[in-house]
Amino acid sequence: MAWVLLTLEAPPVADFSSSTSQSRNSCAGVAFGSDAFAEKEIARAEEVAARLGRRSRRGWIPLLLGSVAIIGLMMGAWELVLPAFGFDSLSPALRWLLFGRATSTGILLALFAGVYVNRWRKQLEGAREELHAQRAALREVAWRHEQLSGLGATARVLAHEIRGPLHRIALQVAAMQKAPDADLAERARRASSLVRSEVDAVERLISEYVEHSAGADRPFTPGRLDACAMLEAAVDREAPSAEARGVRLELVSACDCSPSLSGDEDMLREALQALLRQAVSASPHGGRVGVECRSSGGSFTITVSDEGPPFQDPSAVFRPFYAAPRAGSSGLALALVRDVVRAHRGEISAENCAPGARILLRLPVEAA
Amino acid sequence: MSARILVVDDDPVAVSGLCDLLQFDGFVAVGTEWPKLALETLKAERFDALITDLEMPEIHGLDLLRAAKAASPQMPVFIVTAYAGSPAAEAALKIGAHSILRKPLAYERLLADLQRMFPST
Repeated sequence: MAWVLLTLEAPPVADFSSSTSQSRNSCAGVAFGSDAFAEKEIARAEEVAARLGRRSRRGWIPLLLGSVAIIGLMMGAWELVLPAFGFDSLSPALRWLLFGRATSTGILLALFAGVYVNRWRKQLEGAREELHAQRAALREVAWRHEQLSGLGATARVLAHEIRGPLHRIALQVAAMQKAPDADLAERARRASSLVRSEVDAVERLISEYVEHSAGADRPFTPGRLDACAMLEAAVDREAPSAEARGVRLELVSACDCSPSLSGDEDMLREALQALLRQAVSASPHGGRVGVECRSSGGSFTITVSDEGPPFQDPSAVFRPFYAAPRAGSSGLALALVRDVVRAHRGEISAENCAPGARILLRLPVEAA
Repeated sequence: MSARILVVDDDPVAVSGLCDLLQFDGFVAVGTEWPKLALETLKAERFDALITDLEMPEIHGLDLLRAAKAASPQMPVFIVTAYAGSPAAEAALKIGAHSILRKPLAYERLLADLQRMFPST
């Protein structure tokens, strides 16, 4: 009996109450604190729930064993007591009465313990449910916090991306206003050209943002594509703007045959052009952008190398609104390229090389 | 004598625009889009003021600010950034930046500060 009660005395409800109050307090903390804090609290709540579950399941085992043990001890004791005190001469009816009373006492004790354990179980179940509700609430708060901070980051980066062109326009216009009359015509021509290109840049940023926001909703129209021809077309399209910036854009093909890809031609062409555009924009005047392609091992690999400044963090450049995009890049262009590559079951990576940087894109080739 | 001002921004169009404006207003403006070069120039030459961006590749504007303050503690440093309320901008003020100017730059405000500091220009 003592053993049974001892096993029933485990105080998980007290554990839960302290944990629940901590979880409640932490909800407010999450709203103003970090996601890591919320994750820690959720992990703690899950751990407590799991512990309660294990204890709750194990609670029936001592109850069952305890009940059997009590009844067995009562019966055994009775069999010893009867001969020792000469009660074995009692009439069967009297023996049954005494034996039955002992047995019923054991059964009652077991039932009492069962009721006690059951109440404890119910408390635990309630506590677990409440804990799960708390966990769900915490997750909701953490998710909202993440969304809000994401929106804040997006707004900050968009503001930065738009302020850059505005800053350049403002300076050029102010310089034009202060310029001597002899320089005015030339400055006006330069300023108008700058304003036009900056407006284009802001328009492209907005388009990229809208495209990025559309994400998976963008229709995917697969078809069979000639990889080399598609790359050549993208290079041809970007060649004029590269030439205008004084950058050599060179295609080196190492394909012995033209591999066939399965994918959305428009999406891939736009992604390749965006890739080339960022390399050209980052390159210094007189620099070179090399485009190499190779088909081997069931994949088509494109390498775009430039002589621009290195990536601050090559592993982060495909992250939307990367905090340190290179000149001429919005911080979204490479994220969009990555989305397209992933949609085609491909891989993309970036690395720095001396001089400049390099982006490697690998797409699976369709079997002939 | 005209004050010498070093302008640093990884955006060459912004550098040339600001240098032109400063020169129109009588300052000697030296501009560079390469922060590393700016760091070396700061050590080798004397400047009366520094105008720098914060977020730049290779060297952060805060490092330039520290270098400028080490070379010449009295030299006013103007920070021109799109993230005027960022922690980096606040850190710049603590290090000793004269002021934080938001992009797009309100040039007349910068000019007023410079003319007050260097009235002989």
